[in-house]
Amino acid sequence: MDQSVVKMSVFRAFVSTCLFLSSYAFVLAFPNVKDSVSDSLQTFSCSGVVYGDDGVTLPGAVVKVSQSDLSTVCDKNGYFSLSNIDPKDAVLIISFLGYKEKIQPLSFAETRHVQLEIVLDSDNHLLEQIEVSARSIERELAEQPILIQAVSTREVREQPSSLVDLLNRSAGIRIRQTGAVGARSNVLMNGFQNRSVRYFKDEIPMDYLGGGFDLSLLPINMIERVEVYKGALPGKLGADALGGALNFVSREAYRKELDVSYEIGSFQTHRAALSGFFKNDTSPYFVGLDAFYNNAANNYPVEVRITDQETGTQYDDEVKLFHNRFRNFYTEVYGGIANRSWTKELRIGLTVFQIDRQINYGASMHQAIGAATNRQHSVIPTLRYRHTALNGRLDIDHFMVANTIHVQQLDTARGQYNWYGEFFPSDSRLGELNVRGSMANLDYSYRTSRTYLGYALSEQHRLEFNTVFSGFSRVGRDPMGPVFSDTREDVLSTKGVYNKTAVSLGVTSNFIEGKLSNQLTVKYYNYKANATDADYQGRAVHHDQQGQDWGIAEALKLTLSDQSFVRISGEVALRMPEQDELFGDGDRKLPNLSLKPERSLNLNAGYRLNSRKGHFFEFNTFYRLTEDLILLVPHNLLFSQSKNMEEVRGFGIEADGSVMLSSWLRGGGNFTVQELRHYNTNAPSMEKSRLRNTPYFFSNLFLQGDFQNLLGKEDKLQVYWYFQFVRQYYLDAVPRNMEPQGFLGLWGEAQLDVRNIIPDQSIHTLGFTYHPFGRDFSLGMQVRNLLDKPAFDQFRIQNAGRSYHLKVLYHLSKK
Amino acid sequence: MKTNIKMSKSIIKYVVACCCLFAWTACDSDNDPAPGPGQEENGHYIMMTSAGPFNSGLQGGYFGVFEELPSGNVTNIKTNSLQIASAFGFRSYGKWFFNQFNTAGEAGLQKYLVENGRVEEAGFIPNAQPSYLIVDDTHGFYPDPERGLLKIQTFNPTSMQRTGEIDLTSLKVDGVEYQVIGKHTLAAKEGKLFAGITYSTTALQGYGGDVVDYVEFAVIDIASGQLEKTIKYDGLKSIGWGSSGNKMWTLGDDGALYFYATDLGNGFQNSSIIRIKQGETDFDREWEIKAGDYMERSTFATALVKGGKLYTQFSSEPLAADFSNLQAQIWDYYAIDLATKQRTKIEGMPKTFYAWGSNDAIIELDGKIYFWVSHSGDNVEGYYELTGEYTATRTFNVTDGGQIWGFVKLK
Repeated sequence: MDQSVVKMSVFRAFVSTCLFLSSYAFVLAFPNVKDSVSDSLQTFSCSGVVYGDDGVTLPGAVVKVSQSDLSTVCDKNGYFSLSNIDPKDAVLIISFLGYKEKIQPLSFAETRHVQLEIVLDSDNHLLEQIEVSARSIERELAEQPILIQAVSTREVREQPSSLVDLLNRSAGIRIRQTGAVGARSNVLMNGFQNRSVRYFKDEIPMDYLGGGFDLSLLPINMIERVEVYKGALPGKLGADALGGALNFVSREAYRKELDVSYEIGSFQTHRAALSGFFKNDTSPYFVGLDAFYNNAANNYPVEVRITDQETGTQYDDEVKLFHNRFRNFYTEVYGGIANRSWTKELRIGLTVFQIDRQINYGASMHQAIGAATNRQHSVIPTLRYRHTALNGRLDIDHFMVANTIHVQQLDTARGQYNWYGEFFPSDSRLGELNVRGSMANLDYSYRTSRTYLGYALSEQHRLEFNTVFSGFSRVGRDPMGPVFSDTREDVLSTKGVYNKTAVSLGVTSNFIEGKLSNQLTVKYYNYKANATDADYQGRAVHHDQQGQDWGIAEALKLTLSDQSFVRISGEVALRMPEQDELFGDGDRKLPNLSLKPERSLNLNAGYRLNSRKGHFFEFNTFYRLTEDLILLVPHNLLFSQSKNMEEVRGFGIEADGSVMLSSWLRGGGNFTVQELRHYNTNAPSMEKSRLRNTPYFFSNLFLQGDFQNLLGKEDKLQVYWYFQFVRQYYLDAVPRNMEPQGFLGLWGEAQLDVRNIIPDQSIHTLGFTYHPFGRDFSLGMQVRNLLDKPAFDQFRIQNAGRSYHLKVLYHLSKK
Repeated sequence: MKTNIKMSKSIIKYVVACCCLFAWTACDSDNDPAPGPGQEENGHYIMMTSAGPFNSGLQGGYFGVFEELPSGNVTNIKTNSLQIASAFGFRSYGKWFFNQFNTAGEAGLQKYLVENGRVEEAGFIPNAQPSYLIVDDTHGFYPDPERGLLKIQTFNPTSMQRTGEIDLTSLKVDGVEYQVIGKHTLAAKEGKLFAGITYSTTALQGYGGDVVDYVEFAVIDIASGQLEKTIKYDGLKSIGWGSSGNKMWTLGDDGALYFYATDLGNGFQNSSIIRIKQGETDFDREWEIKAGDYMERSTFATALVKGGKLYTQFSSEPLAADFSNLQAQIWDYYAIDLATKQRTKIEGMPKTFYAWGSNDAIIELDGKIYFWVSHSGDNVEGYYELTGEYTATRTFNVTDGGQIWGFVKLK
């Protein structure tokens, strides 16, 4: 049976590759199309990227060939290409609002294709006098019919902040961590979390990166932005996401640059990042490097209950975490060729990462763990091909990866530690996390192939096709783990396979001179899985399962004026059951082959206003109806099982805005209210109760001041204050008639005796960034949790109190 | 991986909690050999309910306080009810009651009492296992695997402090993968502590996988803390299932200890009730009730012995070895004559749920016998009183939607 699955995997990979090749063949097969590849070889053309003098690419810049009708507009990456250029006295005129127009002569003396990197100088005079209507890529995304919150790192890249901090300041998102640097992060968005939210890196599902590319690890200056999709997902993000997605967009460089940062912080925290890109002006070849390293003892103080070894009684004490060190490195080396007639970019990458994690606590902080560790590493080759053809009408993007993540779990302490780090041996257990202990070595293999085709049918309509095949398998061994009773073979040694395909087809249309935009996407999902596990008596049981389903997403945006618009979107989304939910874990988690996909109807509506004076205000609301939520529930006396259990309905409101309080001071804030409740619980008292362990009100405020020429001629100082508030919430669901009274339950206490509460949290962060010599070098200082208030996340896992962070960043780029 | 391990750990703790509740009844206010503290006061009734039906996915539950015996339709979620993270059976002693998890869900022995109508925490001993036993106000026992599988810990229930341990490592049998004492059964009568000895496998940790064909108890003199002897009963695999509030033994009004062999780990082929008679310190090998004599593949998980009768549950259909119908509403209450062993069904109640982790499926309050009945189809979740010799009538019904996992009267 494994063979058939392998064959199917190979077949899918083959089909996907053929699709990519056929799409390229399609391009080649259009002999009549003007500017086809073959034609371009016989004419004169040019391509390149347009930057501002601050090194940022300029999407929307206009590139025109003088004395002709030829012109184009730079894409979202600042890239342009022009063909059929008359070589005689050819001159480009490049313009962009807020920048001085530039004239660039073209020379075709030695080549038929000229590559350019054009830098426009900003026109400060113009900037001061005119209203800048040029829009950033973040704003472009924010104004899509689909609700996308583009969280830019540009403004904060010099700060010693993490992506977790950055996203937590955004409306509608809570990132919850179980600890500090390296702790697992869980995105909560519109009430969805865990497996309902999917993660992408440059539009590719990033399961293949394991824990190596986690939110909490990424240096903030290594990525360009995070795109947060809260409602419908566009077709280009191919995954069965029930409730949204995060897309991490890497910084793209087009010229020589080097970016180095180092951060030192409390609790022996060291974070370093290095990014480099090299490309010769006259060569199409490029190489680059993205690398980061994190090392933190995470030995922050926590309030815990200590057990007196003699009397068994407990008392509270403050101790430092003692086995919580986290170390990781991540390095991606890449190279390729760009701006050729046959490719916009062909990029080959090799990523290596390793994680070493000490484990100091489990799902709660009731019991100290003092010896268990987790390690994982992987070597990941990737291939990406991108091209724009048919005179810019066809976009092709293909990505492939195949790698194995090696995970080692060591849990062999024959006893337990207390919170003082003292060890007490015991004959009752072989490990701390599990009484049986563990010496598991697991290999998780991933194969991902993604093909995207976008074709402009006309100026108003664009067709998009996306397919993602994800193949996953797990095999391993654990000398301390369960074995089959008859063969004594390790249960983990039998391979489990899970293959999934997500296909989408969508059309984007613009009407009424672009004032009305529409996106319609149809999605198809298919999965096939097989695995062998052991029943309670240890007998081998083999499982096969496959399924398929459909989804649809629709988004509409109406521009009311050049400053405001409204939008509405809806999606019938689903999440396919995962392998462990279908097949159990070979231990106490039973298989359930009748699991249905989780389904959710998600509706979003919003209004955004951008003021000419730099203010903005945005209001969004959502409604969610989720059925067949898969929960792990007790099945009987001994076993648990994943079942389609719950229905969750509700709505949410979020508002976000910022204002220029003066020429140097900006302020703003946001708040989020989520009214998500259980339905069909089979328990009258719990009907319509709020989701457990889920915050339902949180808000942020900020002030940011910018000063220049303080100590030197070119220095710049930015001072900021952030405030986060999370209203107390309950670890276990409280009956609706017993909830706190008042508007949205924001005041008062539960009407019964509830003690398992995550209390109100008010966290202040204060910091500054100083550029003493212009933009290239910066020094950032930050104090988090300024007032040293208790900070919690899931299940009362304590986060760090007050901490100090210092970051230096040096950016060198070709001017 | 980390999540899986945490999940496995919590599931194991849950299963441990689930099953051990049966193994213990000495703390029952109606069964305790010694009077509890504060008996002169009017007693409160304490009810434990879960947030939802057993396999609903809803977690946690409530301790509700009642000043009088409830009647009619009642709710257990009131302003003075305490929300708890885990509800899988509990036990009481005098004016105290005990849960095998603290309010936040940490495993151990949590003592509660009622003050000013509210439930208050009164001490917690982490790692104490569900088979704990309270003998009197100042003497109690519990196993703590972290301190040794072959040791019984002693504690003072008033101060909730550990006072020492009884070392039984002399009973270690070489060649047995997993040997533990007191995990499934700790019982006491007439100054003797009876501690079950389990011989199992590392993989199953004593929950099934029994490698011997007998049950064995260590008999310890409570006053001296000395091991006196071990006693064996052939033909059964194990006694009790130490994972829930159900201690799985009861002290009859005849002074005998009655122990339940569930046979949970062996497909319900050989479930029995055996006893140690009053004045004896060894098993009564002349008397045994076998579930299979009445219903093929059923199991004993609850009993009350009063007036020459043993009240218990039987499934109305054979139980599947994979436990698939264990939690179905297929159970009826019966009375078995101790002398003739003839069983008679108690009429007037719908079929109900497996006694499971509740120590109080059959209780005696103020001389009257009550049966817990849980039948979702008939919207029944409450207690019935035995009003005739073999007839019961409804006393009260809980309308919250969760299940009752214990109901006691504090003294």
